[in-house]
Amino acid sequence: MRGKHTVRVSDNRVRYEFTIKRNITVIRGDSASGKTTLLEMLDNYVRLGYESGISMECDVPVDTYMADDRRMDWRTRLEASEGSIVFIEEMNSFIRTREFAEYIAHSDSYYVLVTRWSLKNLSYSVEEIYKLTEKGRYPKTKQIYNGLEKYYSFHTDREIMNIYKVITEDSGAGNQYFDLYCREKELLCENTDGNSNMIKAIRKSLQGMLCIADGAAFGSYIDECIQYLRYARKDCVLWLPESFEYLILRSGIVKIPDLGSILEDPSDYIDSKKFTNWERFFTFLLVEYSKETVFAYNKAELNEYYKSEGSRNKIEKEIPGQVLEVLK
Amino acid sequence: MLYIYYGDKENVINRSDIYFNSTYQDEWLDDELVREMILYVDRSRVVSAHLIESPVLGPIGPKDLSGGTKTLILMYKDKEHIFNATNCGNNCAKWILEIAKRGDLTICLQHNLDFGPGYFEAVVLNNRQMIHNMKELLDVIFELENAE
Repeated sequence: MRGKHTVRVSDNRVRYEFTIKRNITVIRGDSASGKTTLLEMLDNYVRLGYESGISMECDVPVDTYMADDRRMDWRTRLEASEGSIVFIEEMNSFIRTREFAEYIAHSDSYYVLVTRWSLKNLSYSVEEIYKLTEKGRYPKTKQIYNGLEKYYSFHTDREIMNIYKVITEDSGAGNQYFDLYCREKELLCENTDGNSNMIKAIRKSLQGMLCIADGAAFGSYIDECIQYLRYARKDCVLWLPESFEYLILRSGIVKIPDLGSILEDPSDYIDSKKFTNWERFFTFLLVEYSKETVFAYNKAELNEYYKSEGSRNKIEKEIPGQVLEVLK
Repeated sequence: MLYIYYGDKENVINRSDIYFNSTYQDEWLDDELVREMILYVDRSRVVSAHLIESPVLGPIGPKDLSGGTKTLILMYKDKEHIFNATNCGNNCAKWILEIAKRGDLTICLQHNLDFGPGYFEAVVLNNRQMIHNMKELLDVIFELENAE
């Protein structure tokens, strides 16, 4: 599946409207925020259609997977739903398994997981973790209108100071790029060689750090990381660009047909069967269109071209001011 | 005292919403703490054992309460079972602490439930470690996850 798909579902009291655009969307949040009501409405519609009394609109099929059904294994059930947006209810333990992660890596469906689990086997974006919020009421029908709001807000009023080290999840080109700045400013620059080691690095650090990871794949670590920063390490700051390759693409260094449209709405170009997350797509794009040129991109080793002042000036424009202040 | 078992555990009621529907007692709804929890978490007022006023759904019965509220009520009223607190959002955390103040409470936890910035006491049963705040809980969770 690719593209953005808006789901509208309503009954006489509640109306939900939201857009799904990646292979994995996570909905979590407070109790009584309407998650179960949404799932039950969708499930009633899926089972009974218009006889449920529920209205549902979406340009692709919608399916639901409610409580673990011991009469049928999840794979058989999901295979029957291929090509759909599948909403999976809380406490379905199979979504924590490696088998599920492997299955959806090649699935033609989008999955909306209603869960508070971190799901360490899945690679999903911090941008696609949402909570349900009440957006308003329709005075005539007294319907309450609910939508999705991003669960994590990365706006920080935290003063970024006393940073002595930059750590990146990326052990290759991304790390080498930020190391250029660190050398000039006499900051330490290390890599954690993977998202799972980011918390370890934050715990181990003795002073303030700027932590950089790919937002496109950091979803399963964000909850723990944010809590650590809130309760244990107020001197550390987290920056989660979509990916380092995304920054390069946005900088315009590499000329790619329709790049503006691709970056404006990547979902139209990213097939869920081919790319487990957007970071992989952006890397693929960059590698494909730069190969056999002077700026050939190699994820493991940063090409000298990107270290030049001209390239750095272009990439810097994609870095938030607060982060740049640390680096320069 | 609050006792937390972190991670997967056998003989825990994970689907407390369904379990509640099959086991709740009418008189539970007369309890003042139950009414307070329903008002705070679900923003709903208990009129009687069979009628609750919800600002979103209108008149509802106990079976229509949120999964988090049902889990809290079970934690408070059913001391024979252990319930999975991953059914509870952060807005339930203060009530878990309140229930534990009134008597021992053992819960299973499978996510980073945020108990807030204040002092609280709990024992993590996996390693029998006493904790007093969120930082200590996060440290224990980290050690448990990385020991596995």
